[in-house]
Amino acid sequence: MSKPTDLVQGTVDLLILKTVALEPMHGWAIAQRIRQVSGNVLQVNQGALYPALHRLEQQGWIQAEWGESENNRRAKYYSLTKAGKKYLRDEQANWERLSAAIGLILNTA
Amino acid sequence: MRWMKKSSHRIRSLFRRGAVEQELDQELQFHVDRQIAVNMAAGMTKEEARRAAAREFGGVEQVKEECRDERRMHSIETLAQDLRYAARTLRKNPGFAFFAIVVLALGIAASTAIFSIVDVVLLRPLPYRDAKQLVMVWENAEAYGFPHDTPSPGDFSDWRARNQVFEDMAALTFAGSFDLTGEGTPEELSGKVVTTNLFSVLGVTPFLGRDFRAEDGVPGATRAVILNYGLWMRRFGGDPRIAGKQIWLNNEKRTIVGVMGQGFQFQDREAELWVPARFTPEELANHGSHFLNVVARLKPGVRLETANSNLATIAKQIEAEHPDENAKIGAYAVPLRQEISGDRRPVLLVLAGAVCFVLLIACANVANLLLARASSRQREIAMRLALGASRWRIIRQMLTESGLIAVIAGTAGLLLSVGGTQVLTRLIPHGIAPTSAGTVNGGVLLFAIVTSLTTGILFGMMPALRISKVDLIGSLKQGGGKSGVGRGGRGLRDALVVCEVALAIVLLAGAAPMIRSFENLFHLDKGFLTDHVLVVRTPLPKPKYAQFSRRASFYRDVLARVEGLPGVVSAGYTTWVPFTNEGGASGIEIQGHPQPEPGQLPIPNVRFVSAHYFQTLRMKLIEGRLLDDRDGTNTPPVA
Repeated sequence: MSKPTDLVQGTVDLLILKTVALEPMHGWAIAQRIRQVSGNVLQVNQGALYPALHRLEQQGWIQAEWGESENNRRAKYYSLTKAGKKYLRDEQANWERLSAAIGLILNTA
Repeated sequence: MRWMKKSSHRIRSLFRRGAVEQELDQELQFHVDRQIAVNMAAGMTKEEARRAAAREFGGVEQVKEECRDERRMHSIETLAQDLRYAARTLRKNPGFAFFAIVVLALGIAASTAIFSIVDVVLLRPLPYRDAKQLVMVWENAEAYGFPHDTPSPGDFSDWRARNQVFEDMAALTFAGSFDLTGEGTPEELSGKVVTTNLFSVLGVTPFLGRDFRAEDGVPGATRAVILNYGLWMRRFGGDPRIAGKQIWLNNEKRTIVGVMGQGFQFQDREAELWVPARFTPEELANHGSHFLNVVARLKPGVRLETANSNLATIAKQIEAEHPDENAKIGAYAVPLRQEISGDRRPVLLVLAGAVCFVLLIACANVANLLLARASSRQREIAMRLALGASRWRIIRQMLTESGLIAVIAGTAGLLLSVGGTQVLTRLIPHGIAPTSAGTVNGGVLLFAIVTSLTTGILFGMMPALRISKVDLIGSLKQGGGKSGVGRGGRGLRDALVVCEVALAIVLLAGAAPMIRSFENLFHLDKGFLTDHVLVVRTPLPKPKYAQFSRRASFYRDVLARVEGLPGVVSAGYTTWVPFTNEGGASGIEIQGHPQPEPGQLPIPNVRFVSAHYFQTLRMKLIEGRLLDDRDGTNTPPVA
């Protein structure tokens, strides 16, 4: 019953938060956006995406609202909450620090 | 505000499960539909597009279940659901539930009861300030057969004046009886005569009013008394302005100066009041009568050994000054805690150990029952796993079930233990507050809860882990639901049984000598028989019966009437019943024997007894004749 591990869990959260920070988005669009922006490198599996969305909603970082989609169907749109914005800022700073540090090591050693 | 949003989510998913489920369906369906549309746009037929989308999405039910899990992770919903389910399964299996709960309840009750005693006697600090610094000081009169003897006032005042190790020393006499007369029903109260500094040595202050002052102990001053909380509440209705009021005790007017706080007691939990001792200078120089209990507070940083060597030095000095009375009499201090818990400590530790074993056996038993039942639930579990329940979910479900058993058993056990504690309270020595014993306090409650939950996890974990690891295909294929847990399961159950038997043997081995020594104690030849013997206390008010002849005639009258009662064979009086460890002891010299050397005077315990005392207790006479009615007040004293 293990989850698909295409991406580390924490990373998925960060990517989702960053993506919905631009505008409210439904799940499918979030997956597409991540794929496009990453130049087809990162692919978030549905099996990871939806549980992550529900978890983030549960934790209060994002909120959901039903709205009309591009093709006139009801879709669940997720957007960043105020607390989520702060959380994203912190996590992004963390991530940058971490990857910079890893980069340093890989480049020198 | 985050928590508000979070809880509103939880509440929503708790109460509007239908709506939430529907939304989840819609959300995932929307995703699949979008994918189909995209696929069709890329040139696939509708059927191809649908299949590709479904393939890409994976197991819809699994994603749903994971979403649900995320929503209710740590939420009350699962717990409520699991509890409902657990209660249902238990109801379906009343025999199993009953046994499991009874076995555990007994185990928990026993351990909680023992713990509440251990807590009071060994763990909790004594209710005095810096109780570690407090010691009891004794005379060592081993040469006379009293290695733990009550000091004389002379020794006490010399120790107090000369030592360099104690902040202060206080003394108490043994329990006295006080007749409370005046308003209300007359009543005999138990009390202690204490030096005025007792409470300050213990580091406690009265809850109401003031402590004794040095001048209260001077002969001729107004007589003072301090009440305990119980007496103040019971007899004086908790009157907050009690200080300064006067009461009649033993036909003397005494002024109540203070009330001690709830639960305060020292040495004697029956004592309801304290009065200051008024030693005259002559009494303070008396080295011959030994009747004090001495408590002292070590100076900060002074160790017990230092104190003991200082006391030994002083004892030598006193011995040199009073060779008649103090020959071969030493002095030593014992920490108060040790004095109070005394020989109960090993008994309690053994009991605590035994009870742990019992609890472990109970756990093993219940685990075994659960395992046995698990095999019959194999198919159910396999089905749920196949339908997308995660392993953790199943384990959680199983643990909730065992937790429920444990909580019910724990509650029952706690109630049982309250009863048990009352029996065990006898193991609580005097000197520790009675109010703290036999009641369920926070610590005991916590212990019971922790024990219940630990046992729940302990006996639930193994079956849960085992059952959630089932071979899906195998158990689903097997019909009828009769499949066993497999070889591994049987091995585990065998191991459990082996552990149980081993524990039980250890217990039995430990219990056998204990029962044996109990039996010995009961059959010990005490020199008298206690069966069919009753004891009645008949204290007399001193002023009215001050004259010896009046007392004697009263007692004679009582005895005659008691012996006249139908069913009474004989009756006798004594000042103290045997084994009370109180009473006096006097030196005797026997005519015709050589005068003993100083320090070798035989000192048997002395009791004043009436004629039929020996018959009543069926004591064997070694030589001579028994005391009888001829030995009255006007004849030569006999012994």
